[in-house]
Amino acid sequence: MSLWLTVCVGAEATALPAPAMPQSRTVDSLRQLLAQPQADTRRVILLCQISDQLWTQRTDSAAVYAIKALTLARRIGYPHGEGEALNRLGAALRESNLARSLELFQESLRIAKATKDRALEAQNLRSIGIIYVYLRDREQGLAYYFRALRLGEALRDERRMVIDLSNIGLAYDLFNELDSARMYQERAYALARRIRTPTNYILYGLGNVARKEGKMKEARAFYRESIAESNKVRHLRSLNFANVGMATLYQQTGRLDSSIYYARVGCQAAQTNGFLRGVLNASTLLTQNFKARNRPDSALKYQSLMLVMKDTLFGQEKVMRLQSLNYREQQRAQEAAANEASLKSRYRTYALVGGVIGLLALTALLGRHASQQQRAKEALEQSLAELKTAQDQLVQREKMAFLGELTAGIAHELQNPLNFVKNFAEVSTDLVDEIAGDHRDPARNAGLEQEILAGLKQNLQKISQHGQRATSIIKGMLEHSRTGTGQREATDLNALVEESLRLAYQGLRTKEKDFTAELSTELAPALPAVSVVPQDLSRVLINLFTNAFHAVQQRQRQSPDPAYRPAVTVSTQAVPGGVEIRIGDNGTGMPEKVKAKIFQPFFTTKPVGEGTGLGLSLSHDIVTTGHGGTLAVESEEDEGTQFVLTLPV
Amino acid sequence: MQILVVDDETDVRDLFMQRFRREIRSGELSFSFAFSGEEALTFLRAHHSEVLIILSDINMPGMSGLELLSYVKEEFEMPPTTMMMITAYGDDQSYQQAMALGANDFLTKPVDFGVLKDKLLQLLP
Repeated sequence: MSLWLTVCVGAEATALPAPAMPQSRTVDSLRQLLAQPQADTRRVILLCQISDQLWTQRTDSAAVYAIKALTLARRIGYPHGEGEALNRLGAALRESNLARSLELFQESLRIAKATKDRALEAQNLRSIGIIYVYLRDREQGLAYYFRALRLGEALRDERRMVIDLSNIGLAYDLFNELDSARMYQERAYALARRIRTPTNYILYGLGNVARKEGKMKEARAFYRESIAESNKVRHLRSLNFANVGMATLYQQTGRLDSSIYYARVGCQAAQTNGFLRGVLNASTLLTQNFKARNRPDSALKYQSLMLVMKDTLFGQEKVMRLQSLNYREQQRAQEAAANEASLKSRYRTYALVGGVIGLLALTALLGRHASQQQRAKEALEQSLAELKTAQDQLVQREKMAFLGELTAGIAHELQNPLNFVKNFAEVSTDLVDEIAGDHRDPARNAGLEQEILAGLKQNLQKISQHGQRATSIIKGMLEHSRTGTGQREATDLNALVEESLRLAYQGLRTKEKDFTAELSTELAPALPAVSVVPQDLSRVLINLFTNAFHAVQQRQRQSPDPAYRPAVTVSTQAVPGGVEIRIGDNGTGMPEKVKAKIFQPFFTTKPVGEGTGLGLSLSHDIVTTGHGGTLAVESEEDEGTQFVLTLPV
Repeated sequence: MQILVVDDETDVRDLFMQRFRREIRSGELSFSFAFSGEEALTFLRAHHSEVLIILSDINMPGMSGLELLSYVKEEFEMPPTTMMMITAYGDDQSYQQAMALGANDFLTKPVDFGVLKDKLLQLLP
């Protein structure tokens, strides 16, 4: 598998041209320095250094210090500090907000250029390169890295060069260009050893190259060294990388238990640090391993973690990729327009000169013009196709997430009834044992015997009830997957509404004989026939009516006010482009918290066993996916609820 | 010893009454039941000096078991109440949260009644 790796080291830590600040200073000693009286400019630099130290441990804390530094630098008008702080903030936000991070680096780069701060410039070139490598833009990413490296060479900053060399190696590794990857990592390693700087990332990079070349023993040794060094310098990011590398290696060699162990350690390190990409890499491995080990519950746990990470990370990356695509597209269009304009003016000149030669030239130019237009069109079509793919992928991901949510829901929902079945069966076995032992007892107790028999009967009933409960959960599930198989036909909605209202009311009255409610219908007489699947839509309506009845019934039970009259209303009317059905009740209403969740599968406010929590989610599915309509809810606590269903004609 | 069991599944009552039939008959243990966090609080406010152990489910509609735990720890310092949390999710996060809020023990569903019985009997004065 390919690793979604990042390429960054304690890079930010080496950016400061402050020789009086040895790198080994801990956060605590920096904080102590900060507590002493200092010049404000010095405080800015100290805050930046604290941010650097925290970055390897907790990204969010690093962001806090970067913001402090930025605020102070701006207040005292200290451009160098402002640039340094902007770069730190960018690094800390790189996981959660890639676009903002890029903006911050660019702003910092502008300041660096304006103040001729070449170390800061090199730093930002590297930071921007990292973002392009994240976006899998090989050309741009490497271009920025090499500019950073050349600037480092010009500055004779060897620490900086070590990191840039290693970053270049990791980028080549990402694009599977192993020879280049190894060459740059080896250069980085030699230099790092000579000037005695950390090699935690380099060792990881060397491990990757060895692993991809199939030299597993060598790779294991590199990863092991990287883990040891990362632990020593408390660098949670490289600790994540090296552990994930090791886990990948063990996965490739079929040693799943070891792979799970290392992936877990890696996952934990990344979670502590707030390093989403690292969490993603580790949880991807864990999901695969647990699936292969046939442990669906653990697999599901990491799969959901993986989905969350993917959403956060790739959502923003996709947007950025599309944005840069659009930008390039605009540039192309502008070039094409400029070409066209210049062609036109040339065309006029040639026409004035006239003659056969002119005409020939004109023909040639027109041909070129056409081919340029053709190219612009192709580019446009290509970016359109890319947009379409991205959209399809988003839809697919949504479906997968829904499926995952559903699977987890079923597992959880079935757990309770099954536990009861198991427990009541076990306790019944005990009762049978007791009564059997009691029989041999001459002084047996008839009362106790009766009690035990009554208990046994009750338990068997419970077992049956909970079995039934499990069955209805599964039935509801199957219905979810079966919707959409019926045929659409032109339907009189008013008739369907009346029928559904009657069915729902009677359905409830067979269970609750005392229940009555005022029903009022307001059906538009000249409603156009709508093409729907009648049985599906009828289920939606029955479900909405049943919910309305429950709401009024509950309100009546909760506050027995003699003046309260339960009422359910329904109206139909034609609206532009479709038909609207409103179903209202004067029941309990819903707080915002509940309202936000009612369309989610397995969400229910009914007592255990009464609702599966699938009704509204299923209804929503039928209306939106099945019929291209909308289903919305308006609700006020203690006032009532109204569902608004619209269907296109 | 008075034990309050909090769970939204009402059948938990029948199950506990049968599982601990002997202990209940001998008077060693005595159970009360509440079917929501809110109900549990009302009960505790009326009987709080009697209840020594609370066994609560975490995932309940309305007030969750963790919310209940934090209320109990805040409101009923004396006499010290032993709070055991039960959850269907054996996940680390619920465990950490429960422990941070001051839970005394943590059990995973399906509850092993043998283990639970031992734990309860150990707490007997």
